Amino acid sequence: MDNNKNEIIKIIIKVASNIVGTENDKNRFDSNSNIFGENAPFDSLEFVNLIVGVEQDIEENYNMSITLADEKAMSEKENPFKTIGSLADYIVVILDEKLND
Amino acid sequence: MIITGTRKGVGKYLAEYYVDKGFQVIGCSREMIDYELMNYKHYNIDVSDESSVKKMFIEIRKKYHRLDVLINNAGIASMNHILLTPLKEVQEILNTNFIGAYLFCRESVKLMQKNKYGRIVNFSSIHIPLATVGTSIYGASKAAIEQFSKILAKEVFQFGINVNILALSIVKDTGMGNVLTDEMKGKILNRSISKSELNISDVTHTIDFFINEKSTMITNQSVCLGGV
Repeated sequence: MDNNKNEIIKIIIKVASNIVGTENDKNRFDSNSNIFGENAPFDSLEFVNLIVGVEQDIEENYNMSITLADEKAMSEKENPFKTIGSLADYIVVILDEKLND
Repeated sequence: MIITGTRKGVGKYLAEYYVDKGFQVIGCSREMIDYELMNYKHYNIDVSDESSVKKMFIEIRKKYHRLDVLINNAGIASMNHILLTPLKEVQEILNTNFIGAYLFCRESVKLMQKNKYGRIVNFSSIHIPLATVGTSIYGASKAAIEQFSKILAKEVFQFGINVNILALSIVKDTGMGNVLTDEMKGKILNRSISKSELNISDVTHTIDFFINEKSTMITNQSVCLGGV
């Protein structure tokens, strides 16, 4: 589970870095980085790109089709799109559910 | 290019037409097709089944890495008084006509936005302005597409994608008016300006305009062929 989560965090950081660029600060993103809300570095367009990019990279890496913006995400107590870590946790749950289907 | 609902009728004509024009066309339908075309790939899927649609798009992404055009043609026609329309039929119509169009738009935009380019054409119907008796559910599904398209156009313009609506009446020789009696056909067509059936060339001419590379600013437009 942890291995999976670390891999997913790497994927999210890679996509996030491609979107906003991290030339001057290679360590700009970690699992605590906000991706949504006031302190997030993404505008609405970049946020959409982030979600779509992560979805596609997860599909390619795990050979599984996922939709991040589904009804489950919207009904979670904690917003899964708050930080890179919370998004990774949410993706781990989705992938586990898919494996157990 | 993706065209939905290519087993027969307008969808099949469009697949043939755009293959002829040099497009790599990907089509789909619930049932098997009885034809083959060069540069045409067919998927047998229910357009409202999310996992099948997603699988199809993953394959397209892996194979072609891009998508330029989506023509959301798939639809179920229905003519029935509201008191005689079973709930199951309502669900089927909304699923195919609206949910299907929504899923294809959503997945297409994900692919198109990577290249900052895309053209989406969603099909509506002359029954929206005419509010024809018997088309309450069919009309509702098409009205949903129209409103959806208007907002989609605003949300995806920043990705270089245009979204337009093509509203059809009855297209000649496509089996489109099969659920209608001649009298009903006459009544509907008489309420259009042209008072005549459409030719498939009217449809392709309009789509050509919408999907032209130069049509960046042609977005959120609705064309009702034949005029109302």
